[in-house]
Amino acid sequence: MNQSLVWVSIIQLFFKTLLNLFQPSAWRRSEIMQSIIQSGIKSIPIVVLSTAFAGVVVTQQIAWHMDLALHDVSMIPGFTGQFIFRELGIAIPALLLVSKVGASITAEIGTMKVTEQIDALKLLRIDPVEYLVFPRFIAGIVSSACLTLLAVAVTLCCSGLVGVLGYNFGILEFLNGMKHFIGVADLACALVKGVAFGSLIPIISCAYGFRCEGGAQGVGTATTQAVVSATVAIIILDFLITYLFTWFL
Amino acid sequence: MSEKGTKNMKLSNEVKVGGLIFSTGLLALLFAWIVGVQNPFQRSTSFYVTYHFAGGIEVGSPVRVSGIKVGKVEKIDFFAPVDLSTVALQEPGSIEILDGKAIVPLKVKISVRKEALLGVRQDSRFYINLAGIIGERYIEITPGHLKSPQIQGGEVVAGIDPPRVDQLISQSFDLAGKIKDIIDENKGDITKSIELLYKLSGNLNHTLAWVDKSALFKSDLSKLVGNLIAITGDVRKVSDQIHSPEGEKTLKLLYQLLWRLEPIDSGAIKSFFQKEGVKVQFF
Repeated sequence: MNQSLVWVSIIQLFFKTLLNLFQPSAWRRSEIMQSIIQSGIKSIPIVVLSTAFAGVVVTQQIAWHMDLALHDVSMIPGFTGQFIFRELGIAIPALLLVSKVGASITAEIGTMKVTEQIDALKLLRIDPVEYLVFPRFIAGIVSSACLTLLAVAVTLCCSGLVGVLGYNFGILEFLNGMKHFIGVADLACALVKGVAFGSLIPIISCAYGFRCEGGAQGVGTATTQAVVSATVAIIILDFLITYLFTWFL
Repeated sequence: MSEKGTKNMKLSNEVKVGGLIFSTGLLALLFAWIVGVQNPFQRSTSFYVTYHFAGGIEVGSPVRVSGIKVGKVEKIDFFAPVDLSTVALQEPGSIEILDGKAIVPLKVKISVRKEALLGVRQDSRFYINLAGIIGERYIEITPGHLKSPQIQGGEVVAGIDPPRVDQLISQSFDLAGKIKDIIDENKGDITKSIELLYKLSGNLNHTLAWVDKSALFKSDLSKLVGNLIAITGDVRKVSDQIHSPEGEKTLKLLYQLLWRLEPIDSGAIKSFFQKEGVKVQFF
């Protein structure tokens, strides 16, 4: 599969999907709800578990380094809070969504493609983008935004727990320490990243699914490539959004 | 699946998604509170503080009255024109007139909660302070006197510039350079002075060591001190006796004797003793 052509088709698919925003027929509530449950609610356990442990590990590491370098751990709440809001609480759920939801979408659409179900939809004059991609696109945005905030909350709670139990912070002391470092821009950054990653994952996954060929092996290859591409795209997009928020806000 | 079952499932999906979105909304509100988004329904008043040097204040920096956070910095303008009729400037040089317009170097718009505004008066001071280890900047407002008028919305007041640490460092470098020049120019004299001081301290040390070790000096000194103690003891005894009733009586008698001797001159006394065959030399 030619990668440059794939990226052209991804961009093309993105704009086609955006056009459906203005078509009332594309807003099929039941499909969107079902997709949100599949991509969002069913991902909650894995996101909560992963981010909880990530929060504990990151807080321990930051505390250890601060103690080593500064001989002072009073800044743990601020540093962990900002790191969680800007990176950790957003990147982890996004990468988990890529591996869980993105792979599932590519496999599903790839299978439809190799079994000629997509062609059947076209014969029935049903737009595959409107029928298959748009509900997943909306569901991806909603799920990712919700999971991002949930992940941030869980990570902060676990980080606070480490601070309170391990480093003798009071709960309010930890919150106040964090408040000095976190601003509206951090919250906005988290939400913008959540929405951006949520829109990116289904588009890339669907694009790879639509280009799938060659039977079961082709589905496997497309799924792997979709996961790799989406992961790389998320990291690059993460950098761009962080850069924009750091320098312009 | 029956129609009723499908309807229930749909409802169930909607409830689940609704629950997810609702709980996320609550989380968003919680985070908004954590990051310090002010309540849009909270009543606050904005006014302006002018500075020449803001020392790192930025939009969003906290504003405190008597140490309590009551607002934030909303906006910062450079060389902003101000309406002189609304100006309550207290610091000299806070305002310049250019082409008939009043201009301030830095105009910082701050918002303060209504209830805290009672303490913000025209004689209040607007300092820029540092908080915490990493030095977060904030504007500290000291409450004014009750007699002074309260600051009104849109009013312009002068703030007190924070100390210029950068200038202090720069000046200290300059001072260090000048000291180095003086040392270089007077290197010989300074070296001589140091040598003399070294010799002087050596001599003093030597003398003190000699005094400390000298047994003769020690014995003389101890004798001298002993005699002095004995003399002062005797003097004390004499003065005690003089002040006693017997001493008072003796002094009185002596006074009477002298009073009687007053008319007798030394020549008469001399002739008297000579007649008696006693040779005495008076005075």
